Amino acid sequence: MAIADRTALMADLKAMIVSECDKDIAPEEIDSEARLIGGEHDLDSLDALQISMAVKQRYGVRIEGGPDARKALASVSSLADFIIAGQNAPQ
Amino acid sequence: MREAFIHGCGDYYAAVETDDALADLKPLVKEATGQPVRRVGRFIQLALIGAGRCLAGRTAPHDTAVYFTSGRGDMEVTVEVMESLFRDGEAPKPLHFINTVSNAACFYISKHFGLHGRSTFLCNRYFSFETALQLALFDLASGAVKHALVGSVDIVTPPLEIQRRRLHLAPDTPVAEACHWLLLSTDPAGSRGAVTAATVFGDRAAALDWVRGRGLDSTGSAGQFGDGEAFLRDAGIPAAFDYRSGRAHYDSQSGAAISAFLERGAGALVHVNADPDGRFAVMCARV
Repeated sequence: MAIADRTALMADLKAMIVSECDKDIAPEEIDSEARLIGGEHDLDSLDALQISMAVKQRYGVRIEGGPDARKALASVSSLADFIIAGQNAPQ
Repeated sequence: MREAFIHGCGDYYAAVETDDALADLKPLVKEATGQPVRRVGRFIQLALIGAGRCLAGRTAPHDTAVYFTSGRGDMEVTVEVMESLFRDGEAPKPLHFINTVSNAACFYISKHFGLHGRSTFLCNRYFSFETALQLALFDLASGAVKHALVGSVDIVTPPLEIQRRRLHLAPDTPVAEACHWLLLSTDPAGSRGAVTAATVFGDRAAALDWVRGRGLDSTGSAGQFGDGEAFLRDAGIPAAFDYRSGRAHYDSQSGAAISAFLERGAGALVHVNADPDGRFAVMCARV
């Protein structure tokens, strides 16, 4: 996926996170590289589960529990990479 | 049954006239709790608004118990979850799923108002407020609790056509969202009045005997279900207090009776409601 597509994906993910987690902030306020769960926006494990479900529905990529989830949900940037890798992986 | 003294009341009422006319409750939640509350739907939002208005900025005793009721429960998240499961064939979203437990509203109330007492949710189509109040009065009279926050919430889940069908209402019947809350205590100091009884009877004769036996010198009000006016007439109590005029339909309308009577001024109230199976619910209060 090209850089422009990755940038657009991250913008889409931020909007999705704001909507799914019911946060009263603008999507642009989420720093792409900042810690997502337990970071400045006070997202917790329930938000992580909600985001994982939304990613599965929207992008068709399943986030398994454990270390993979921690890596995927570390930041918006890592989540975008996880989705791109998942979509490009052989079926 | 001993009296339960009224230390606060809080209400919300809004008729919903079109599918897209639901009021934005977030600012009211923030006003009631002092902070934004996320991951909750209209049912929990209304519970927080009513409880917050009832407490009116006071700190309730930490051991206050919560008795929460509704005619239908949280229909909004129930519909979301059922549609995910059966229409879309997908697992429901976690935030919807956890809030299908109606007692989730009690968690949010306890958390935001610092309450550590017991909490109970009960659902009853015809006597929701009456049965929650009855349970609270039992616990207050037995000494199990000293303070009780008793409230009802009913929401509208559009489309209105389906909402009316769900409630078995005629087409075009006006519908509303509402909540009614009372803060009760065994302590009379500073109270605005008292709830003196809340009882459900298996039949009309038993209810009539009970009301006549108490020799009540009261004003009567008839609930939205059954023929309460005929009952009051037979009991010799003037049905002179109309709190329902102009209100659209919602299930727990009885909850408005006591708070409206508090506004009216001094006197005693007998409120009568009936269900289609012939049971009667009587609430008594004095101001």
